[in-house]
Amino acid sequence: MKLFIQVSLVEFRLLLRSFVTIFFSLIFPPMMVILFGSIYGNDPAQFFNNRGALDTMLPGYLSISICVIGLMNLPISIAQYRQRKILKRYKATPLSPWMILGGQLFGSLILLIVSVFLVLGIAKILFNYRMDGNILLFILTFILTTLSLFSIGFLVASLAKTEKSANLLANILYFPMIFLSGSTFPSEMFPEKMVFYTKLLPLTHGVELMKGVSFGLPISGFIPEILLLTGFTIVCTIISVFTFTWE
Amino acid sequence: MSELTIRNISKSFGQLQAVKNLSLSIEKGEVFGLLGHNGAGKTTTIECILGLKKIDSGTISLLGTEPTLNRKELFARVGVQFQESAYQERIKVHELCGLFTALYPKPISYRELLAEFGLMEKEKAYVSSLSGGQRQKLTVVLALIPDPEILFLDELTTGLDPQARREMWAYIRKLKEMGKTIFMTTHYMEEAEILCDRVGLMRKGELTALGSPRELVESCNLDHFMTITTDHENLDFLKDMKGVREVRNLQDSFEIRTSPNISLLAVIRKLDERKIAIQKLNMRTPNLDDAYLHLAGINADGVEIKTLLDMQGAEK
Repeated sequence: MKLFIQVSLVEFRLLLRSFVTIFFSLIFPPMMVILFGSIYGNDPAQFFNNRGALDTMLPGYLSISICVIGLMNLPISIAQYRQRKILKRYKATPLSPWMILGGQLFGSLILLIVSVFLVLGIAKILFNYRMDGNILLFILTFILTTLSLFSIGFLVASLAKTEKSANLLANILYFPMIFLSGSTFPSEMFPEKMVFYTKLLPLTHGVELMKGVSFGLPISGFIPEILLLTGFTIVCTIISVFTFTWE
Repeated sequence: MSELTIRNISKSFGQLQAVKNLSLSIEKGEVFGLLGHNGAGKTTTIECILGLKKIDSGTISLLGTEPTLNRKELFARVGVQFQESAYQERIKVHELCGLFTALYPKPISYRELLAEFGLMEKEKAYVSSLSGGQRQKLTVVLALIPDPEILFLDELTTGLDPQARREMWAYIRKLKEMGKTIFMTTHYMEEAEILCDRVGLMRKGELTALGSPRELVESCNLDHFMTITTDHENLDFLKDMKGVREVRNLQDSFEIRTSPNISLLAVIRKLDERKIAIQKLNMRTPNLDDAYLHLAGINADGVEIKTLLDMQGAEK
């Protein structure tokens, strides 16, 4: 256990040295909060069904961090560890290579938690963010969204045989995901025709679910989203377990 | 009991048979060198021994265990340096060493090892900022952190400058004196001759020769060369001596090719009889390099003899 924590902390420290990861997980979401909050404020607005602009958008901003950590950083670094034979090197030590993957995952989760507190803290202090819903329920939906995106990340890591292809695949998934799922731009502003396509992105459902729960809407209204995200997580995990290779 | 016993192992990748029916046994405290060209199967052999590649047939016993079982206990006693070792991007030397230290039950102080290899000032540096030689030294430091009983070194000195290579040799000798068992691969015959108690030659996945460097050289029964500088115009009379195979007139000297068992003294006496003054005398006895090329079926110009024969055959 001590060893696992040490491996995780090393991996966490390495994450902090990656500019892209830090920018999109720790700088970009708070920046969006500040930018969006400064422009639209957080007073009830008709456009957001009489809710505050920031109260509406916050779950989306939180999901940007999930995306960059789980969908960008995780698969790329796993592919890199494989291609550069880092995993192989650890296979010739008493450490299980699973521990390195576990360390990467755990290090990523620490970073995610830091990012969540940062976004929430800034939104609360500067714009008086308010969550109407049950916080515990919100945390659960956040975890479900995290699981589903991390499982896509693992799938990318399993399918991509090289660092380059992992990078490409992650980028193809990442950018539509953060810009079209309602996490960066409010889904309320998407034209009718586009809504159908945004529904193809799993994160759209994650954002809808987190938004709804944070508004305090009954969870029973989000059964399809929950099933979809759960199903997605299971399918991606199963495929990646069967296709994953160490070398 | 042997530290490592390999019996009849084979490994194929699709059509390619990378290791063919290889058997080998390494004693405690022995430094063994596996020689062969790129693609001869040296690295695959190491990976099979370490249980990183599954063998198709045969048995391996490393420190008394089958290497795919009990990996955790086994690898606490084994040090490994891979040919293409990479580490995490953006990791620092002390972080990497600290991580490796945490992996082992009885680690050696990595700071002592860094000092030993002259890397102390790089302790806080990024691994990616190290030069090729420094990085290679670091991989050895990492391989030594567990205080291993047996050490695997895959092309340890490839890419090192002559000075760094000699430093590495001195260190390996020290490890040998400490009683460590070492299994290494190399392209440098000089290195094998200096460091190894025994060497094995691999060719196309097969172990084609095995013995001490000296035994290997002697088994080839290769010709010796004598270079004589003299004012005399012709030394052809030496050709009549038993054991002299060829006398070549070079620009300012003569090169005499002889069988290995000819007496040097006899040649000199013969010259003395004719009152031929020797200005300079140079003897070159075959070394492991020559034996390697001979055993690998390559002539002095680096062309594979077999291919040459094939070509001649085709012409006919």
